[in-house]
Amino acid sequence: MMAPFLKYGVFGSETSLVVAFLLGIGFGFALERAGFGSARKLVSQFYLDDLAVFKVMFTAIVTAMLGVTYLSWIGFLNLSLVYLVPTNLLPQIVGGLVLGAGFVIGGYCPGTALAATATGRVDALTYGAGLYVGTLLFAEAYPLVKGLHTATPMGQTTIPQYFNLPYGLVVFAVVLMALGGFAGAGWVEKKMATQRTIEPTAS
Amino acid sequence: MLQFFTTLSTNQRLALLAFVLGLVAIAATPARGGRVTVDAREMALLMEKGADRVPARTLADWIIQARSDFRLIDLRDPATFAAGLRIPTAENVPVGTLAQAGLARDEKILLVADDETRAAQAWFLLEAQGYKGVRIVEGGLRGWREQVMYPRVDGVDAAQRARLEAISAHFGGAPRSGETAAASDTMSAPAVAQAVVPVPPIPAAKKAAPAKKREGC
Repeated sequence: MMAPFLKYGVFGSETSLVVAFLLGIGFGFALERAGFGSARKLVSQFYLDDLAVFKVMFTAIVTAMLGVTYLSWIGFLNLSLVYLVPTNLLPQIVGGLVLGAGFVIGGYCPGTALAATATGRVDALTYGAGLYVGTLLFAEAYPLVKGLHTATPMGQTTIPQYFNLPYGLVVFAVVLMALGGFAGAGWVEKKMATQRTIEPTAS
Repeated sequence: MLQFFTTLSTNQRLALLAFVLGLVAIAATPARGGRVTVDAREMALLMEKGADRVPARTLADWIIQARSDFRLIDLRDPATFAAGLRIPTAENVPVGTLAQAGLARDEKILLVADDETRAAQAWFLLEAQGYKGVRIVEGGLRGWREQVMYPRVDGVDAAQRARLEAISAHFGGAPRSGETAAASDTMSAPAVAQAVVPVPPIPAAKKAAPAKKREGC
């Protein structure tokens, strides 16, 4: 048996939808339990008070990356069959900025908005509705934005491929980056906490 | 050593584990290289599952439904393409120019040529380069002629016959039965092709439509 299961015909599209549904529930549950069902928790990231978002996301990245690396190493997962979103550098930078701005202003990103909606938060519901309206507008205005959307196509590319680096080395570099990031995040949180406690007494 | 490990918090232990796993992973063999590698097992699997082909009648249905989630590539040389029978929506891309055709690796690409051989060769080339949705139109243009434009309707029930008639009429053909089939069987293929050259023109907007994706987030 080889993965990806869908590509190797271990199960069909219907089963894959059921699996996607179950994984979605797991994902939403994990987001909510990490505290990401609250816009306050999410935006405190930008005030450097609480870097839980950074830590949770980077933990997820490292865990998934190591899992995929080892599964493909032992020959269970055919990495070349794993779908990659094609890289279009310019539109993805623009999209990233739009998403970032939306994150700061609205207090959610798409996934967390849905998780928070499930807990009954009206702000998240509004955010989610905006998400669908925006998607619809994008689709309707596609002829206008098509030029940007399809600009700078690089195909399905990866960092090891693009920079011609050994795959394993990139994996290790990302792990080091994450560990360094965690240490840095802890330091920033501690520093901000002491500043916040000093400020009221000083004023 | 063990004493040092017991003094660590859970977070620190997990971080240490990630570090060790990352360090070992340096030796991991790259699963995706720049060189083209052919996964024979995967290709055989695609062939076995029939995921490498699409019946001519299914293609006809898709064209009638004006589906835009595939690109139909006609592999014949430009002169033959211009002069002979063309399937509506087909783009002419000879095998030699496939790499410059701007095909995306995740879009559904249907290949057609006079027969299946040339289409199968192109299928192999594209699959080897990581194009994941490539299919051959069964029977090539010959199959298109026999299954879609001039299908045999001997011994099929009334409903199926009406369906075949509607499909063939849509593409400017006519079903065959009894003597007409026998007569047209003796006709040479180019003669049939030339008799039906007036095929609906290729709608230009078709190409521009983005491929429908079933994956990604």
